[in-house]
Amino acid sequence: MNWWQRLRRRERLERELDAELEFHVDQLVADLMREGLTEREARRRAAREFGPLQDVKDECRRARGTEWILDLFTDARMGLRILRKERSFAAVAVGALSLGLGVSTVFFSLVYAFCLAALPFSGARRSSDISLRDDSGRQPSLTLSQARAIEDSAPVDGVGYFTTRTLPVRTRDSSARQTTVGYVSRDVLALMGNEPTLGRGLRPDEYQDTRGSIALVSGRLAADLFGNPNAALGREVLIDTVAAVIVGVIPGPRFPSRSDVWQPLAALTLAPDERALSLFAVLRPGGPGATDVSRTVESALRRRALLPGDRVHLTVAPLQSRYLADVSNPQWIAFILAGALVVLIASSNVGNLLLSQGVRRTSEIATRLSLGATRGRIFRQLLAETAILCAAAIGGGAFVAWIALRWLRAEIPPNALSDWTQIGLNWHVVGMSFAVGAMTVLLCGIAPAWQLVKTPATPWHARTTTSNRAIERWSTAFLTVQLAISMLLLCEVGLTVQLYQALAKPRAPAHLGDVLTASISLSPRKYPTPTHRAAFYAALQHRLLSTGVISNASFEAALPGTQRLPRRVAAGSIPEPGALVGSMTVDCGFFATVGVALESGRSFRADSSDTADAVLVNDRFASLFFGTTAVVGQRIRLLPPPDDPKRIAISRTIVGVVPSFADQAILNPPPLIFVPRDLGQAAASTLIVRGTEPPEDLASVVTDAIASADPDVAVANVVPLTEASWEARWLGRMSQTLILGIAAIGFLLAMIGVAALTAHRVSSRARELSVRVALGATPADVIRVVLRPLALHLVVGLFTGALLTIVWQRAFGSPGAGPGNLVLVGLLLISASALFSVWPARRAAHADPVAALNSGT
Amino acid sequence: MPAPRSDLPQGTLDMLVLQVLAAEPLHGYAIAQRIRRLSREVVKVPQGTLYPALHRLENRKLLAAEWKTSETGRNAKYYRLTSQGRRQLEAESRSWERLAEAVAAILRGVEGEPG
Repeated sequence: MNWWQRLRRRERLERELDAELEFHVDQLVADLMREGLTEREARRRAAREFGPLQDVKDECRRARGTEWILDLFTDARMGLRILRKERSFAAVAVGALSLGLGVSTVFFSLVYAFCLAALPFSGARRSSDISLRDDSGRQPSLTLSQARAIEDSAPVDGVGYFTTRTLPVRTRDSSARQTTVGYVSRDVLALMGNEPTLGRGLRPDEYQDTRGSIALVSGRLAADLFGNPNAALGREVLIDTVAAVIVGVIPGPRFPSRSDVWQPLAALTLAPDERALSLFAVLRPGGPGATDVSRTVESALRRRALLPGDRVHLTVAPLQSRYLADVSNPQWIAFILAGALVVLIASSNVGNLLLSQGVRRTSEIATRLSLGATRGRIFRQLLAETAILCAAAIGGGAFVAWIALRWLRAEIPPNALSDWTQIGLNWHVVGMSFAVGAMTVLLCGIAPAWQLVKTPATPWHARTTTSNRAIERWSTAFLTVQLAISMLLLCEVGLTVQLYQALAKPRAPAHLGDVLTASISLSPRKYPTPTHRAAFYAALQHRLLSTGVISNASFEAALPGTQRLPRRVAAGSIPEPGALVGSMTVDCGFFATVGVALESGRSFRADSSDTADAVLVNDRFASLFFGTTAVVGQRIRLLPPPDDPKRIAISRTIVGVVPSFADQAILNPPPLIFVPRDLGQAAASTLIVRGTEPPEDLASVVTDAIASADPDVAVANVVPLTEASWEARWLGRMSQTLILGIAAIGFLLAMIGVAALTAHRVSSRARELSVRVALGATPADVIRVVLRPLALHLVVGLFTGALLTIVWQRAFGSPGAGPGNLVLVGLLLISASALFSVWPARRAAHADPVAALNSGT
Repeated sequence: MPAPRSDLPQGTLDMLVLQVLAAEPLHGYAIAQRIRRLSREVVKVPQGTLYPALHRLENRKLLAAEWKTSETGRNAKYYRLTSQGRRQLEAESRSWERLAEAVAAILRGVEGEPG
């Protein structure tokens, strides 16, 4: 019988134990009577020889090895009864812990999804990324000659290299879709374990096919084009206008990421010095390690003069490190710590609540001690109560995390993440988060339990001489932790004075609600030269404007406000080496289309006369560099990056000044320059149009106009600009919401801690306060007496918080520790603490002194 | 005159119980009586300690138990040795014999040493 069966059948075992011992005693009595004793004497002697029956039974029960489980059940039952009695305490503690554990689970889920989850390919674990790295940490792609040289020289089991292109893909009777096409060398799909499960893979000879006449497609694209993946086999598809037959379908996760079509690398014409390829290799088990492979390959490349200069080196690293974020990056460490801090703040809160609740139970504990309960038993009982709170909070935390992760997933636009980045609850995340949470909570539960078991075993004595001072010390420590962490989290939100100033500043309106946007990409085969491309854009613009419902159209490099390249500029009062500003490349019709009127000067001309010399600046740039907005005609110098000697400084003339416009939720507008876009160089663009009808109604007009201009031009994301901008900024928005969320939760938990501490003070000093009231103290006097020690705790907590924030800033380089910010957050915490502590203090001030004195608390 | 009673060295009760049960299944009372008789009244098992030992050995699967009608007509719990218990008994017996021989040799040596 195993322990579980012994536990389940314990009633039967008890009956059997009784019968067995009774049989023994009766046999002994019978033998003694046979020796001549009377039954009474025999029973007395048998009892003496056998020993105390109850002790023997206890020993037998212990021998079963299940007593500790039964004790746990008893403790848990008792704990549940007590928590049921103290419902409001239990609700606050479980609520606080659920929030803390929920938030930390969300954080760990994100860390797991972005940094730790394994790539879902059987070959990924054995593979290493081989890439170039220069002194400034950049990783330039490989040329075809470099990739082939690595393939020839690397002492490894296999090498695969690939690149991707975004190309128009369609069937003969459908419009083109923007599609990522993966061009792969022979071993890529086999080594990665990413081969078709429908149809077949590419044969060795097909990897030499330069015509691109065969292709593999993803299950998703197959379903999109032909209704279901099975129907795709043997069908024809036009990839950048060239017909290819589909021979296989890859339904699962895709490698290279986001590819929907795979073709042999030979089908792509690469210039000899075109840096386009990524490469990975499968190291030999027991063969040369990463360092040896790297050394061998690098010297082979240098021998063939394929590595330029000494500043570029070859690195070999696990493939995971190329496609997943580095968890040792300070930003991720800060992220993990922030999640852990929320658990800590919640646990400190529970510690404080347990202390407050414990003070009310000193009489009960003293009574139990005086009735014979051991201190160990009471300690275990108190920890069991904490464990019950923790178990309930784990359930609550899982629910909070589930809701938050659902929201996060809904916020992320489709196709924004790699196939292998799955955000959600899994056992790794839940286990890690709750193990950390449970450990912290139990550690925070030990201090209150330890203090409470020191209660004297005389109930009348316990009422006056409990270890109140030690309890208060613990309470203060918990509160300091909460206030300090709360301060750190609030400072990290960037709750600055400047933020409020920026919010108050009026901004020139841009009428973005009337604008529709679409991504378009041109076929490289059909539009091989700048002249071809410029002609297409001009023709399409004409076609759009002649629909009668579109008043403006322009072709941009990206959605307005989403792509600002940092550029060093010297002008006016800022000489070389200049200052960094944001640089946007815009089409001549951009400002008219987004509805922004220039403050002065003119926009770019439609012909190419402005391409080389003109620049527009925003008012912030003008006032920063020239101290005035009357800057039309001034010259500025666009400086090259210091590590790129090939580029030279360019001078441009300011032809117009643009107001800082609310194209996104930017509170503090950065200085910006706008340079004209050369459409001849643009193979892909973001089309933005303004019409006389709502943008939703313009969608079909735009897609029809593009399809009639050229069905091989791929169109995607035809949505109103406001919607596209909202989707494009998902990452920033999500990060802001997460930081705001944890700061708000941390703040709330800290305030619950303040209220709990005040309530504890009030309950532990009820008699003293009653005496004061009886002797004539006014409610204001009582409130002052209760709140005075809190002021000291606040000072300690906020000082610790300020130190913590400064340390955090040094470690992770976050901007939260400015003096203005610290003062503002400190004031916020002081005001909120006063608000949260006045309520329990007022209760004390209005309590009936006679009742308080009689209660004996 | 009855032989003086001896306290059992720690750990030997389990071995004695296993040894007694090697011959035939017995109930608890009979085990205590058998040990007493076989040791010629020298070893008298404190009866209260016998049952925890029996239950512990049963949980370790060295003994198996079943309820049967005893010689007095009442139901009693009979313990018997399992194959695992038999192996354990052999190992413990060997170990005990080695220890007893060693202790005896020491005692003989002490007696033989010149005064």
